[in-house]
Amino acid sequence: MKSFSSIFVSISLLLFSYSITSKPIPVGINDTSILQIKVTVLYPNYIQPWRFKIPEIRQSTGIYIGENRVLVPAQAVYFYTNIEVKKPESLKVFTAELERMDADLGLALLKINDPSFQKDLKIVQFPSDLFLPGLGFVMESKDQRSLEEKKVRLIRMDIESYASGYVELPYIEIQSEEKLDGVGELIVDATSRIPQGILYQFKENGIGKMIPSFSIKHFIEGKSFPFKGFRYKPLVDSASRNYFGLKKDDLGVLVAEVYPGSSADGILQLEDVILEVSNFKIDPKGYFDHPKFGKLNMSYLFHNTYESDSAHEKKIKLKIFRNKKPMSLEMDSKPLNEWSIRIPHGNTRFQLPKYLMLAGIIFQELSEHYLTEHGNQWRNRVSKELLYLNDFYRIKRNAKEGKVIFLSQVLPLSGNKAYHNAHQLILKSVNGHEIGSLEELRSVINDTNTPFIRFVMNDGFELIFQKEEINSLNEEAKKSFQIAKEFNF
Amino acid sequence: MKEKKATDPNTMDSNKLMQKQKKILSNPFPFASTILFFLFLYSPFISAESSSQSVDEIRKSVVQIRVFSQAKDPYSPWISSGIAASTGSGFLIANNRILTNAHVVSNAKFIEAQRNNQTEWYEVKVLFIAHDCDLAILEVPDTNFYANSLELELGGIPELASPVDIIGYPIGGSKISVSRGIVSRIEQASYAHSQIDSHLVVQVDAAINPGNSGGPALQNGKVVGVAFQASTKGENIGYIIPTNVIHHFLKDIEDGVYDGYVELGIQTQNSYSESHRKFYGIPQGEEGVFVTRVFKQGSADGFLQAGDYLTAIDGRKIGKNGNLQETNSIDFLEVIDNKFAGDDIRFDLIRNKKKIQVSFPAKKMPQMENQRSSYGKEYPYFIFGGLVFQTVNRDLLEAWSKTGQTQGGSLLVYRFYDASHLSDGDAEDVVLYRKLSHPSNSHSDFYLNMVVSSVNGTTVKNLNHFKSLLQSTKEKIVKIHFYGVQVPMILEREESEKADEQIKKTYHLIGK
Repeated sequence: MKSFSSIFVSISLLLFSYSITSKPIPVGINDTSILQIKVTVLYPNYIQPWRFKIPEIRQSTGIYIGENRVLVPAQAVYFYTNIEVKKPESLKVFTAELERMDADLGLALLKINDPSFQKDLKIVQFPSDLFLPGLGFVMESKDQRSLEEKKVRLIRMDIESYASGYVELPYIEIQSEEKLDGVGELIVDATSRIPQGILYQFKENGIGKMIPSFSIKHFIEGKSFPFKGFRYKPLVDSASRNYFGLKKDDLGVLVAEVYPGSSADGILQLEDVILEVSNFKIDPKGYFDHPKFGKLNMSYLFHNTYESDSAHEKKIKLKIFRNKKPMSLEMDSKPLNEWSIRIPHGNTRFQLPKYLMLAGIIFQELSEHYLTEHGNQWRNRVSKELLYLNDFYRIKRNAKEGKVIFLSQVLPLSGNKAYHNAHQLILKSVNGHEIGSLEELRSVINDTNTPFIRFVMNDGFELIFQKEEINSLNEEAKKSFQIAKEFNF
Repeated sequence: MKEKKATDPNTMDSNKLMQKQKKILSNPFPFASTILFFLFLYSPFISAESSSQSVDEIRKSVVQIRVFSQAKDPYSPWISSGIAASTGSGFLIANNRILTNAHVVSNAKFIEAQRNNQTEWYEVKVLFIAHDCDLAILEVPDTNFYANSLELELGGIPELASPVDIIGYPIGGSKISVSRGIVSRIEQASYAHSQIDSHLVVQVDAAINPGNSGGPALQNGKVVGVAFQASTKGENIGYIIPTNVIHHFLKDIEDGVYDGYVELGIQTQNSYSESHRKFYGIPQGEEGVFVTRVFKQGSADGFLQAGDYLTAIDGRKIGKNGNLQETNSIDFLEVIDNKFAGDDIRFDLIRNKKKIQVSFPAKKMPQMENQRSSYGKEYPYFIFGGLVFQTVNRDLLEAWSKTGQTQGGSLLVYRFYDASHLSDGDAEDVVLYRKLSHPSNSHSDFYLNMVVSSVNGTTVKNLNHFKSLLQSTKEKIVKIHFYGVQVPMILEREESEKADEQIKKTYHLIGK
């Protein structure tokens, strides 16, 4: 039995490796590759993190990629409770599980455990080639209708972060006169019908964004995406150029931030001037000339996965000016270190907002989601200090910086009435310890042997409890306000 | 703060206002008949309540004030705004002086006044103006103005639920108006004119409308307050400045100079928590508040410290909620409000579990000035290479927020609102808040709305210091560092100076 199963696994692997290395196959109008996805989601409540919002239904397109696996936009499955997959012109509904997700690329892979699911389905393969610029078809499947196609034009390649991700990745700008959804539809080349990518955004002005096929292929193969680990500033003014020793040569951008633990950490320094990356000359605005795609932002040279010039798992050659002297460097490309994110913004990366209740007082880690939940005018409504930190300190500037822990609200009980008005205060210390995470806060409280616990906030406000009060007030708050747990991590 | 607004002076186009006044004065009949109607309408109750003086007498005291004003635009401080006309009220007090609100005569270029039944408008001079308590003293040099006039006496603070009569010239009318309200609340509250100061106010359930501002609130023929602001939320809720604030102002100006209010300069929190009290060793039954923060350069700086437990001020006991125990409705800071610079402030307090007494002189806190809305003053600014720098202040922040060019400005906003603790009292924030576009500064948007931290390595103290650093440097390159940004702005001194010459001409900058 054991040998049989190992043979089965080997055959499966062979089949799978064939599917990802073989030549791309056109997708016909009648191919059954495009699936309908219906996801029930339960979003967390960032202001009251022990609660959830009312369940919602999200619909998107799914692309069958073989092995009972389906590619969908990550946005569709964040905080899912149930995922349903339906083939076109079929009434049967299959249940799927999330297999893997890349928050920066904005794609997820679903796995369907029912072996009968793959019957009659045709596999879509994503090649490295791109037909740019060119005409294409968007393939979509809606409700009980058969597959439909709409025309698009693939315009150009550019690079920026997707859907509020952190890593800038290549995307293809598309145009269409037809109304598109931008929820994971497949785009194929109009002539060859070879898959070109997946549509992930479409706006009312007829412009949209497509994830290019080479990035999708890279993701399906289970690889991570590299992250350059620094920010740069254009160097267009002559005063700065002269100061940094750049004479007439019209090259170079200034390194303005280096993130700890990243690809650039220990390689680049603040005020280095980057002249060349991978032998491409970098202009003062941070662009270079790509032989196929034209002018591109230099982040492409660090973040892209296009096979002929991919930075993945390669040493990247840099030519820089440091203290007015030219230098050559090499940088290993590493993925974004999640640890270096100090204040999460944009996508959730599937993380629930954490909280810790102490004496009926809620402590949270600052995230942009918490702030934006204060409505359209959130920038005017939230604490000025929290807003400033969110704008300027999203990524750690040094390895010692922890998360921003703040007192978000006090659940009013008679035992904490002295502090009922406290709200959005940043925690400075507990019994003299500076705190960098909720886990650390919890362990300091648990481990302390002093009779009193003293919380000091950034503005000098203090909260003082006897240790035993913390548990008894927590119990009272849980009962009174129907909160199941004192913490959720 | 949003709940109340200083009742704007009644504004209208200056030409229309002139024409309207001329029309009224040239046609005396309707003017006289209105007075008769007015007398008929109000005389019964005024004679009943204002027992010591008839409405005829009161009319001799109340003054209509007409103001032509022109303000500076903080966002473009080299430009003056248009000329606006407005009206307000005032009343005569001792020594032929007119008491009114500061906001009635703020930014005034020309002021004139008229008493009831006068045909002449008399030119007025501002003797003293106090923006922090919204009061001003005016004087008419021409003594004819005072013929057959009556000076009003100041009374005390009215009782809750007692009636007061608000007298003035609301909504621009040239006829005196009386409205009656009942005192519904007495509390310490913010004064909308400066937006930062907080003093005692008396709330009445009577409408206070534009033009009413500065008029007296009377009870039994004596002044119990000056009408000054209205609620924007509730209907028919008006506020008057009580006489303790008026007395404070009058005493302050006795030496010929208005010094303004002193500040204790601390933050406190209540002491309801038994654990909190035990931690600090506060004996059972001892009431008071904990000091959480002491601001630099406030009166308490160097005398009080975080963790002190304040139990009494000048011998008057403080409750757990920070109110004076004797009334339990007035914040203990009201005691400070009645003091002048140099007066002694005495606290009984518990520090390190020991009862001690601390006393120190009251003084003003310099960093309050930029927190306050300001009037009638120039906004110092400095332009270097077309980049416009100014001291961070409330007027600039308000003007700037209306421009929509506020990207990245959370640093500026945070530093403004937390200035009391970020500032050491001597230094002021300097912000690069806009640029006058020129080819030499096209790269500088990266630094817009950032607050300057240093110039060529020297920490910047204020706008003048910043200006002198830039003007005195012999360096070819100027490196300006900003808070929150790790790489500096690099400027070539000579290139920036040369650009400024062209920019001054292009943008018609005067005097800079």
